[in-house]
Amino acid sequence: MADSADRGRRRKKRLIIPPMKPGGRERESEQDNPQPGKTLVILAKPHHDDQPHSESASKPNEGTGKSPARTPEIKAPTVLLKTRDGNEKEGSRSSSPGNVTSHSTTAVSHSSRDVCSSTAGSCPASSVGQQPVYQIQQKSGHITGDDQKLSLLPEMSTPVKLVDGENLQWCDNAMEFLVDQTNFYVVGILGLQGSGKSTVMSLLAGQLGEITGRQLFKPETRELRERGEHCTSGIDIYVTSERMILLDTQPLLSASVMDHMVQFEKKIPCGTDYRATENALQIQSLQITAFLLTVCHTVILVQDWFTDPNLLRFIQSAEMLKPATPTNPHELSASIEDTTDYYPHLVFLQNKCQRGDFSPSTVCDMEELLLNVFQNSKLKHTGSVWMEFIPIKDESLHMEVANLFLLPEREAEEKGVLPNYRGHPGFNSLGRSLTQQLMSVPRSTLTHTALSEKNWFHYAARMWEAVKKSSLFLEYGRLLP
Amino acid sequence: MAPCSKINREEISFSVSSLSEVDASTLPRDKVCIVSIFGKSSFLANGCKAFLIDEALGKNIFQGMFTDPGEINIDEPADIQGFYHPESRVIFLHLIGSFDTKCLLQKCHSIENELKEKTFLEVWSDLQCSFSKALLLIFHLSHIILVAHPTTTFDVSYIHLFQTLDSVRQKAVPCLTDLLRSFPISQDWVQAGRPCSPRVLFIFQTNAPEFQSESIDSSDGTGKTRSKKFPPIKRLEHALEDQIYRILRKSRVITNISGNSLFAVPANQEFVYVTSKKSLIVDPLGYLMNQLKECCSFPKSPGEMDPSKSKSYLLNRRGSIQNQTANDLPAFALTPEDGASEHSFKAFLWQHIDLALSKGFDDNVGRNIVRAYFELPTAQIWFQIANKLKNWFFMEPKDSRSGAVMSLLKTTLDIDVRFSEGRCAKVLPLASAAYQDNLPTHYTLDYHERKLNQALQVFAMHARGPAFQQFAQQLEEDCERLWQNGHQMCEFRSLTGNHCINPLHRASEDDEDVDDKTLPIMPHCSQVKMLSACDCGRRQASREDPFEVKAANYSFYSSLHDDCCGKLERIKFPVFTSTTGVSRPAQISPVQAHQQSEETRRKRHESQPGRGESQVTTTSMSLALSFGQPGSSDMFPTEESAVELSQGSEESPRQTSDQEVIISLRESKVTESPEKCTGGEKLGVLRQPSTTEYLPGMLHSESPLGLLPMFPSWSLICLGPSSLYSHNIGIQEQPGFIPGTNFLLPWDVTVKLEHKDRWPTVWDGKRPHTWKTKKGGKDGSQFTVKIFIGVEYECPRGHRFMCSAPDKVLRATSSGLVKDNANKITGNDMPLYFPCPCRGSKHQVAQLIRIHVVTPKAPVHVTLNPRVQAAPPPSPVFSPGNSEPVKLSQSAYWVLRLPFVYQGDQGPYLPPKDPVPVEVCHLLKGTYDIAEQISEKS
Ligand SMILES: [Zn+2]
Ligand SMILES: [Zn+2]
Ligand SMILES: [Zn+2]
Repeated sequence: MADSADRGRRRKKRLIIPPMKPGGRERESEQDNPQPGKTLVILAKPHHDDQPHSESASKPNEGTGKSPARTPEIKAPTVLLKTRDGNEKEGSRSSSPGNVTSHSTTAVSHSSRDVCSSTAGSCPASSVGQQPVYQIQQKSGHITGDDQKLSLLPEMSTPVKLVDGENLQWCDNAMEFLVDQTNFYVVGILGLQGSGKSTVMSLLAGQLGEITGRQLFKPETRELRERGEHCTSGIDIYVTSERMILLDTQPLLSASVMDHMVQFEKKIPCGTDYRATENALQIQSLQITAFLLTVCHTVILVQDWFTDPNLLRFIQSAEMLKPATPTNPHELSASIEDTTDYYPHLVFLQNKCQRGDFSPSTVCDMEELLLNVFQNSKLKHTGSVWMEFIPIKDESLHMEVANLFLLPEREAEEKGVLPNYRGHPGFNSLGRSLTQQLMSVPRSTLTHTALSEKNWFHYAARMWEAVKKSSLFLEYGRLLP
Repeated sequence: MAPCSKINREEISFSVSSLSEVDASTLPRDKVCIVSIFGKSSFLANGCKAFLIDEALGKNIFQGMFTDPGEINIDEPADIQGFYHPESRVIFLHLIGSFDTKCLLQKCHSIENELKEKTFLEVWSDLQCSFSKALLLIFHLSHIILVAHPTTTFDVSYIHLFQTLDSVRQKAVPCLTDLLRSFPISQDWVQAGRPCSPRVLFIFQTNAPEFQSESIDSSDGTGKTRSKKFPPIKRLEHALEDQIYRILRKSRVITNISGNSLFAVPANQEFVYVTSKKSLIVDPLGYLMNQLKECCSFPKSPGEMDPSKSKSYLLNRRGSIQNQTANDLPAFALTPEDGASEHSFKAFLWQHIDLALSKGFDDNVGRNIVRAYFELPTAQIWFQIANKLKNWFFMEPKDSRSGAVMSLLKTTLDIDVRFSEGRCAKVLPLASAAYQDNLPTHYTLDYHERKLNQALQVFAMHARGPAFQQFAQQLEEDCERLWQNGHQMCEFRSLTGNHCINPLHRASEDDEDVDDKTLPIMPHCSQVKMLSACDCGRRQASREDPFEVKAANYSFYSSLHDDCCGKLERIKFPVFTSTTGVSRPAQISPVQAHQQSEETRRKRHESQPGRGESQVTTTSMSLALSFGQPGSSDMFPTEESAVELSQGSEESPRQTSDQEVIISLRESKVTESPEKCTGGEKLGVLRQPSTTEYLPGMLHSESPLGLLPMFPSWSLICLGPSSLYSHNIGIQEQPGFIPGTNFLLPWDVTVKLEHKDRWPTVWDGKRPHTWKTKKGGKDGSQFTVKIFIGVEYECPRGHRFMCSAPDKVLRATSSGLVKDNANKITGNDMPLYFPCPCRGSKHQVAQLIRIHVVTPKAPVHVTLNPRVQAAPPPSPVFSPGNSEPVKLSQSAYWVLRLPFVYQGDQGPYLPPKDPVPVEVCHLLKGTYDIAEQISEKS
């Protein structure tokens, strides 16, 4: 198991920046609402009351019992430091996922405690123990109806379509759930069929539930799996109460998607330009990928085995084809650096990992392969997410670490007398760590100007159209066999 | 079939890369069926996809072989392991290559450096090309090909791969036919290049719990009634079969006539197998753990473990494990394959093998009269053919026909690079056009770089992919060539720091700065105009930006002599005069000059300051600014000490608290007094002027002795009587003065004539204040004189003003009164450059250009000894070349005009670009002094 000392060492190496300005989020809120204070989001994260990593952490309403009872004040999660792009090397990562800021004094005490825990490093609660699972507090109790502001912030019960699966048209449904504030975080996911995209997205939303239960993004049902079919089609969107915008996508290069095209002689989306179905499929997959690389802060590439070289190459092809970040005509800069395109963080998530995957030497080999393969890619593939409990072989040599994270198969409760040796801290614990780390990834601005959620939506719609009409994909498609 | 004493019926493990090592002649003459397996495998699988075959045969064939990373031959396109199993008359081939993650990692290791330069898109296309060659080989040698998937979904990226392989295969047929002609095989085989259109079977793996056990009840809790006829894994297989069949048909990978396609799938037999078993190699630890757990929970007798069933698959997994525990391990075998089992791989595979060994395949569909070709070779023949084909596919192509095949393969796979190249090639002209857009006939390097940057921006905006760098570089080269090809601007720096705007040219026939002798000869021109006053300051005229010192410091001013001050009385500074009529510039050698280390470059710099040097000068000046040193005469410490000790009995100004200056004069002749070691004076006195060689450039403290310049850079002129100046009105008839600044400042000097016999030599300057005032006036040798001094600055636009202190512009009150006196300007270094108070769009830097002195009517001379530090030390100090302080006549208005530019051996010292005071450029203090009227006595 992970020894905490080691974890501490790694953290220190990445230069922890102590939890940032308290109330960063509040300020955002104040912009939106003239009367700050009472209402806004009540999205308290469960208080990180030193309760050790309880398995029940992901159950809804656990922990929320405390905060509402305690104070009617706002609990806004501090949402990480926005660092300037390019600083990531220095690892400006806030390690204070449990940091709950609120008006007045509590903020101070919390943040100071976080400083302690993150810098001390050896505090076992610092990473695993903190509750990374954010929950939406029920609109009830202390929130009174007279607060109109509250109702301004829409809450989503299920994901809605962003791009419909039938003919890949943009859908405006999600607009009503977005507000005019700029502190949001877009996470997209990509992967082959059955790699667990929807499950991971549900995990990030804190709504994974029990293994057999309902989860936020619908995974493939058993029946679908028996038919070898996919579940998500097009792109689904869900906005969490922490203003994390999650984009779940249909599987890339999916035989099932292609089979649907073949079987139902569907009018092939993205155009009649690609006569061959397999080419249409590939272009469509490239377009979805390029789109995500354009509008997300972080893109997760999930795989359920390590690793399909074609997929790694595919991501880089999409990187090549993604539309240029539109430049602001007002700032025609003289230097090339200023007009560089936007590149998101890319996180390699290995899902359904087996015991052997977790051995440090295997993880090092995986990292090495990824670093080699993405060496010349501009996607930010290093330094923002890592396996906390796996020691680095040689710190001096490993200056860079690929954003590789391993999630094990979700296992049912251990029944035997002897617990199985798993080789990892368990799905729930790793899931929390992943969520935490993803939330802490430094967010660079997607465009040259800062966007609000609604701006982002319009921007994304524009980018989707741009991707669909891009001549680059046409040119690329013509070269396919 | 034909038993022979020599025939070797042993199983053979081999590698395709070393096929020739297999002694084919002793092999049985049985016809054999060839089964190959390839596909992607996870990192943990160590490249092994063939564990099912091992299981089926009950032997540890392939897992054991691929264990140690060192065993993969990474030089070959791919590693193909073979196993000949005479008992079942099957040769198995196991392809390991870049699709196997473990192998990919090793390849990455071996091409680490290549990966640093190339993008993965390029590298992958190479790797895929190698891998495809191995695949082509397999497709030409096999009857059955297993495609292993690590998941339960069909990998559609194979479609493009299959399409590519098929197009290459068709192109390769003629070559293969030639290769095969010599073998005892059927014409069909020779013509097709392969024994048959192979059957491809797809193998998938799953970990999903519902597929884990085949015995599990298929009801899934949903209560739905579905076909219970098959277990879930079977339903999945059938679904996949349908899916794959539709996809392959749609993409025309398979067709009605199997012989026309790369491969076929059977119409009436299963071709998809999903296994829920894990290869032991993936998780040996888990296996051991479970075994251990079982042992602990339900102790079994060793007999039950049945060690006879197999060799340990683990033996070779990790060396350490093997060494330590191999012998102690309970043998854990796979459950023996039961041929009758509902869902066994052996049954799945052998139905195809059996068919191959008996009837052969005919996978044509529809109403085809043609029967598909199918042939089984003997092992002997097969080994020979395999060796031949392997060489053809793996070796460098020997003839153009095979070369064409291989390049077709490469191009078809190279989509990303081809796209990138196409894209970049398309954008290149656009970017070039952006560079050429609105291009002037000739332009500066700076402009070129800005345009190039613009072009690169356009390029970066639209260009994509791995070819980016290469094309960006080409763009850069193209633009540079265009610029250099007749569009380059001369850019030679003028002495004031502006560049010449003419097209690249030579300044003279023997211009050393330009190599190209075909360039036209013309003078430099920056088209910058400046307004300057003449020597005396009474007339202003516009002037060209000077490129030569003579034009800057001499010609311009002498050109105004006719109109203005040519006839006035002047004190001439020493210049070169030729006695023989022959004159040449001195070749200044290191020996001649003190403290000069770069003498060889000197002359060139003096006559023609290069661009680079002028740049350096500017830099060093602005650097020195930041030191914040008060410009001082510290570099002449001897002066101070001389005064203190009164050794040389020099005249020395002493500033006292009541702002009077007392100067003690002695009768001794100045010229006879020992030299002060100041740079300026040393220059003057010790020089024995040459009459044949002149000093190129300007006189300064580092100039070699004995050389004089061709022309004076300074001028000292007497405007007329002192009455020309009225302190109430200010300076008259001097155009360009900023109102309120046109005044001189009074300098009151108490003069006491001292004589050796009257005053002891030990007397020094530290006389008490009281002493002076008490005794003053009683003695006729002590009196006070009033001198008016003005330090004038002039900006390039012709604005002129006086300064009252090193940091202050002189300002008269509104009523025209001037309250300042000259003590601050006589007692301090005065800045050479000062921001002009004029209000223009761009602030100008004014330069100290004139010193106005109105001398008193008294028996003393006012002397001038101007020395200019034009750049921070160790740059030289400039002086007019006077051997001693220049004495001005009494009761007159004198104007000293300073050089317009200062040029040292390293090029001109440029004024600062921004109008900020430059702390290190000064007119050094000690410029003004009083001398006794000796001339009358002597
Ligand atoms: Zn010129
Ligand atoms: Zn004049
Ligand atoms: Zn001016």
